[in-house]
Amino acid sequence: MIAPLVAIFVYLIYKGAVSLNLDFFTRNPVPVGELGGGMANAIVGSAILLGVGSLIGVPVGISGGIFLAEFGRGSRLATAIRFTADVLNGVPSIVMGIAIYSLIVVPQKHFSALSGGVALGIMMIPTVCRTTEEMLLMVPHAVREAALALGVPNWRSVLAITVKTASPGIITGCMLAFARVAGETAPLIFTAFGNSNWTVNPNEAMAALPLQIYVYALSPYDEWHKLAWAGSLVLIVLIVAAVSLVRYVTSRGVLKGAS
Amino acid sequence: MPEIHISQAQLQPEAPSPGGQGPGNRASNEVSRVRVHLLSRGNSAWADRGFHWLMVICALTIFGIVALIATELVLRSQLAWSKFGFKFFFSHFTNPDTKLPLYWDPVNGHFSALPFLYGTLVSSFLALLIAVPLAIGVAIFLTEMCPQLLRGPLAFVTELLAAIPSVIYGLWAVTILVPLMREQVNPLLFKLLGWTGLTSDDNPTGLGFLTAGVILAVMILPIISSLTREVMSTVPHSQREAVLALGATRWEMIRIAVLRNARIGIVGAIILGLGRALGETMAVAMVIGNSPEIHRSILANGSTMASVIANEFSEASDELHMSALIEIGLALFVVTIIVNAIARMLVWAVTRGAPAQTR
Amino acid sequence: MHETVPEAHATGRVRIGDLDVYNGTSAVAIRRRIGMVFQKPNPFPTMSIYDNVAAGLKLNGFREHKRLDDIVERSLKLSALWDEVKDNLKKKSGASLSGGQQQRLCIARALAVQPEVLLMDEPCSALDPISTGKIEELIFQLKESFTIVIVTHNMQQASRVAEFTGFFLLGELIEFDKTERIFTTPSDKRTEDYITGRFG
Repeated sequence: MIAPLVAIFVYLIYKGAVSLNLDFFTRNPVPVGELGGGMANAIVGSAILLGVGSLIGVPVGISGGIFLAEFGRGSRLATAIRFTADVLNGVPSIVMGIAIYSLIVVPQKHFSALSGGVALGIMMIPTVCRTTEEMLLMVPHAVREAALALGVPNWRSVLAITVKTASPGIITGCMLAFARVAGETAPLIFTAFGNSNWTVNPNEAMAALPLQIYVYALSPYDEWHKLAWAGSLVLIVLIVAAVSLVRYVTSRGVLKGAS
Repeated sequence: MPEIHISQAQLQPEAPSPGGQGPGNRASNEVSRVRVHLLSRGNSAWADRGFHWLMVICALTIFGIVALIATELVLRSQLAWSKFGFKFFFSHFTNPDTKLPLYWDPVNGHFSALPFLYGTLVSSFLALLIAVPLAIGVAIFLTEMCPQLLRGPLAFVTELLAAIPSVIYGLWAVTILVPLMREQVNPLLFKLLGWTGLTSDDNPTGLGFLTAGVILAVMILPIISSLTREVMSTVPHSQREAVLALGATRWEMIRIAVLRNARIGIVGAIILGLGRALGETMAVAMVIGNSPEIHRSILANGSTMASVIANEFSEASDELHMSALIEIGLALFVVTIIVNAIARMLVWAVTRGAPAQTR
Repeated sequence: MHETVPEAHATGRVRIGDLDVYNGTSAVAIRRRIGMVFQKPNPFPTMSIYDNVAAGLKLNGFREHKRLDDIVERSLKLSALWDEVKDNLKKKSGASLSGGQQQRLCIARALAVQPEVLLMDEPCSALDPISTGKIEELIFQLKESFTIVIVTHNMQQASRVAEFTGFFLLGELIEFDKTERIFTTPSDKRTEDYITGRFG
């Protein structure tokens, strides 16, 4: 039953490996008709977009999770927020794209990596928030008591003891969110937009790996298809690495994390 | 209640020399230093309160974001709403030349979301039709029959498949699935079922509803099966044993004990998969053919709500066109919220309190 | 500590020196003056032995490292754990110790903040007899320098370690006196019933 799904995977690795070379990482895209070229700009672009996204998604998500686990336990506000996070998780990425387009791109009057990063960041929040909450709830109550009994103020006890104890799990959650949005294309089409030139200015339109794969996949040129496969392989390796790490850490258990 | 007084002398028999038999003088010096340090610190009540509120604000941000998205979509779709109202989702126009129904004609300002609603429903329905039996099969296999050794790796593969970006599924579909559908599956379906009109052969491209449905099925399969597995594993072991003890076969046990107990949760998992299928954009946009028409044949080209936004949004030059696209986005937003809310409630209803039952 | 449990409440007065525990004193300030040891050993699982002991001071902003080393050493010596752990203070995690060692680690952690009173909530109930013996021995030594309040369900333990004993029934203080008086000539009928084993 799973065989066809595994087939996708094997095919992807084969196609990608065949087309991957050093140029892919070091060169920018070249115009139609020229051979070679790479996705250096898209790799850097993805890194910048994900960086901006993490700057937004991780702090807000973790704080939200802390609220749910440490302050709002059982309160109606917490239930509502938990539900909203689930709703936000289910919002189609394309809808996120048009919302950010009208919120940021329209007032700014130009596409920008910044707006793309915001879109990705917002999409990270629910995952980060919910895993943080789950991981914090796994920290035994006795540990919290121990910290409070020493006369440590609550905020310090939460940050330095509870969050620190759960930190392997929380980092895992962030990686998971990161892996999820790393492959997102739809929210970037009208925000980061794509760019065939090199740029690191977050206020300009910027290329991203998934965007570039999308464009190349729909092109009629063989050379571009190859690049799309190579790009997919790079993206997948990144995601698989993140997911395996997550699995490894969670299978070892949160609390045994630090020895 | 008796009042108790113990004098200081009683409590501390000797002059306080903490450190016991340890180094006497230096130790008590340390003690006072530590105590002075601790006493000098405020009780940081304001810091605690500040921290609390910071966390609350961050949590409320999540509310704010959802509200902001909703308002923005509503505001920006006002133009299309005021022009077409509810008819936006149901009506069609007539092409003056061919007398055929016309739904979506940006050049002449005709907009109706009907073909996209239709396309979304048809492709999602096809996806569920393919994915649900498979997913439940996979879940039953994993929870009930699979040798322990295989369970971990298989669960891992399903997890990985859920993490593959949709654009890569799209790329795979464009290079493998589309030719396959074009050369093998579609002609076969036409031969077998062409007489029903559901699979008429007027589309030689290999794109279309069915292709989109297949790729969607592949994408939602991991979600449905992993959630179903989760729900099934909450069915108490005693239930299984009880049915087996009545002399049921293994399959009867699964049917009676597991599936019946888990059915609400499984429905929730399916609806959650549906939510994903409805909003899925890139892979669908790459294989559905993108034509704003309604065809009876599932082999025909079509378009979904998400795919039309992806394809036309950056080219929409006039206000009305853009507004119409945003209204489609708003509709998609509302629909997915409702679908997800229903699914969550079902899954919650099952998994909540489950750990208490299992033992 | 009880305010973290929503259903709990307390009446009456508790004073430590000039400090009124239930009237308008902040919980944080009180906890800095009262060390607490819990029923089950609860070392911080992600911290080393050293960090566990130093936690109370570090988290309260005490940053004189040289002095911290001294305090950690002395606290561990006081709790009779020093010889067993001195070789891998910063290498081993607090959770890697045995149950009895963990409990002594928790005592060291409480001692490090130099409390005026050490509160022990059934400190031996999760331990085996040998570890219990060690902890009791420790209590004997520590009571020379600290006021120790210990809660126990074990009457023998109370008679062994305590100078004064109070008897609580269903959350109410019935009687408080010198230990030998409580166990030989209690003034309340209920106390007598309890120590003679008629209930409880």
